[in-house]
Amino acid sequence: MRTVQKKVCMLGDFAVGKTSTVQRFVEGIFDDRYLSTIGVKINRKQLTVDDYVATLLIWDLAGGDDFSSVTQSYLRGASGALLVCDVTRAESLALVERYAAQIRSVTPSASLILLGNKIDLTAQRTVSDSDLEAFSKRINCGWLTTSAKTGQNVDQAFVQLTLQIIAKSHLAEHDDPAT
Amino acid sequence: MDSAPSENRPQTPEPANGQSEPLESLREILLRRDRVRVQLLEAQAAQLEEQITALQAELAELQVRIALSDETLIPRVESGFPSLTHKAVTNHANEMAEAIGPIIGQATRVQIRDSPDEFAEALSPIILKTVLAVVRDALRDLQRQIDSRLQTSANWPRFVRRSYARIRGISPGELALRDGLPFYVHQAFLIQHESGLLLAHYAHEGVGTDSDLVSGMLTAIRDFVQDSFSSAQGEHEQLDEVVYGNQHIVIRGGAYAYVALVFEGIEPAGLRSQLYRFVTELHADYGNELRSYDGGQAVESLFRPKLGQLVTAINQTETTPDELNPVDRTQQRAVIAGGCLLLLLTITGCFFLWFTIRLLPLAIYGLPTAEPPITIIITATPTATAIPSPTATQTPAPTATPTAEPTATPTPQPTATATQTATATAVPSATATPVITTIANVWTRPDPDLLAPLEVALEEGTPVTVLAVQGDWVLVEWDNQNGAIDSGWVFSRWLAIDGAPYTPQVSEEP
Repeated sequence: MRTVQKKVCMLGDFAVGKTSTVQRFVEGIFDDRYLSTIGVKINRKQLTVDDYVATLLIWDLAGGDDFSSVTQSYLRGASGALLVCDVTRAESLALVERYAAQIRSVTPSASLILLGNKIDLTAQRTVSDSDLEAFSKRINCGWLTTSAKTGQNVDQAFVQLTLQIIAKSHLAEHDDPAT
Repeated sequence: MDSAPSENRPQTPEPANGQSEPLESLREILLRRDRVRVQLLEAQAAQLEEQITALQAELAELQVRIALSDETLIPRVESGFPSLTHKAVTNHANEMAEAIGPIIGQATRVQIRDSPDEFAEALSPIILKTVLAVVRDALRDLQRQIDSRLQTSANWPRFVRRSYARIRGISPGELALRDGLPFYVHQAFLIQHESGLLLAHYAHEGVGTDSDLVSGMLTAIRDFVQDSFSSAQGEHEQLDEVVYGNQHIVIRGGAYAYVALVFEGIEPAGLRSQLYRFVTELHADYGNELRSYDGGQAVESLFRPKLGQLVTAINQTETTPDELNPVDRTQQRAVIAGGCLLLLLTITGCFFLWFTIRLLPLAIYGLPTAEPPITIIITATPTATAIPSPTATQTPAPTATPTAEPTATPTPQPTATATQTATATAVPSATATPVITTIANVWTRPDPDLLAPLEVALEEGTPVTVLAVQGDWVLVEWDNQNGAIDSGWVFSRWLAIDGAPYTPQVSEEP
């Protein structure tokens, strides 16, 4: 078993459920209270994927439409990111494209997955699966619908991201003639 | 075959007469082969000339082609070169670094030689930044030293402590600070700059920290501070210290990674310089590993021992201040003077002890309780010319030389009554006493007691007459040169008989 540690970021508009998703994944619980992340909060979770024991350092970044240079600094060295949108707010999906462009400008090789969160709120849903699929094709990444409240697909989202990251670094190692 | 080429035979002039035909035939036979060879060579030469001409034409054409290709190739290479180089650097960074590295130093030297001002101008932002950081650290160290010295001066108890510290070879300020707030490094982190990933962590036993989270947050805080407070001129300072209560986190960074040292207490001088050296050497030795780390390589085992060595070295340096401040000449003198003083005190003490022991008998014998009260009993009057007791062998005979040695048995035993004893005591006759003299200036006392008041000081050599003896005390009388006879008790050691030490011959036992 190989041990790796990877930095991944949570990106998305405010109140789309980034912190709740991380909390659900890391601690397995959901806090119903509204959580607004200020700045950054770092969490850690260990996953076993294939022959790898991956320690994910999850940087939960403050959301919002202010793409400040601070966030830009936080993105450096990230191996991947989860782009989170709220399926009850269509405008949160529009912002995802800017977040994707931002992280790709800092770390072009970062793996991305688009998450449509809050699918437990079926009645209020305004973003369909086809919207998510179309959008994910535009930004060239995979997508999943999740619910931090019920825990649906939360673990899968992180597992898929980890798999992508490991596959990418595995490819990079074999492409690198120095190794 | 020989007849075949006859048609090509060269024409020779006809002889004038018919006799020349045989000669001609002979010539024809002899030269025919050579003539053919010459003709062949001439044909080959002509062919070669044609080839040379053709080659020259081809060469000229090639030269034209080369000239044309230079004009087209160079622009093509020039336009593609940057992208090719960039691609090579991106895909084969290590190989490119290995390949270009040797000539970079040489090229730099050439550039410095040819245009030093331009080079200095280009490097000044980097150099000035480094110099400023080092000078700032040095000034901080100096400030700390001055502060500590000010705090530890002009105070009497601290003066004593300072003296003690000086003898030990450490500065009193350091000693006081160390006693008050001992410096101790608890943890050290080696963190990649860009990602905040932990490269290595070293902590003492019992220090529990979520090291990878701490390294991430520390990096985030550094980025936040840098982005928030970097000046408009584009200067990118880095957060280099965090203070939380009594805990300090000192940070020193290089190009790819930085070290964070967590400690308590007063930071000693030179710590930041030591940390800076460590980071610089680490980057020089492991630049590639630090740069290319992406979380997958096992670098903990590589860097953790080095962090441990750093922490141990810093802690040991701090706990053995003697190594920092070796004993100088002044301190050596202080130690030697202290040793001499101690030796002098020891000698004085020994002398005092010896003196006390020597005087002990005198003190004991001088005690009044040691003597019987009034059994002293005296002896006969001077007129009692008495009859020497047969056993009183020490009595100096009037005619004979007195024997200083006591006889074998001083027989006079204490009798039942003092009277009897008195009568038994040998009393020298008055006429026999002039030979007893004092050997020094000596006080007489009314009683045979050191505590008795002093009466008369007899000069050395004063002749006395022994009237009675009690222990080491002797009752003597003498002529006071006023025509009167005085008497008093003196200690027997101050008397002599004919220059020999006087020994009381009769002692009164209680």
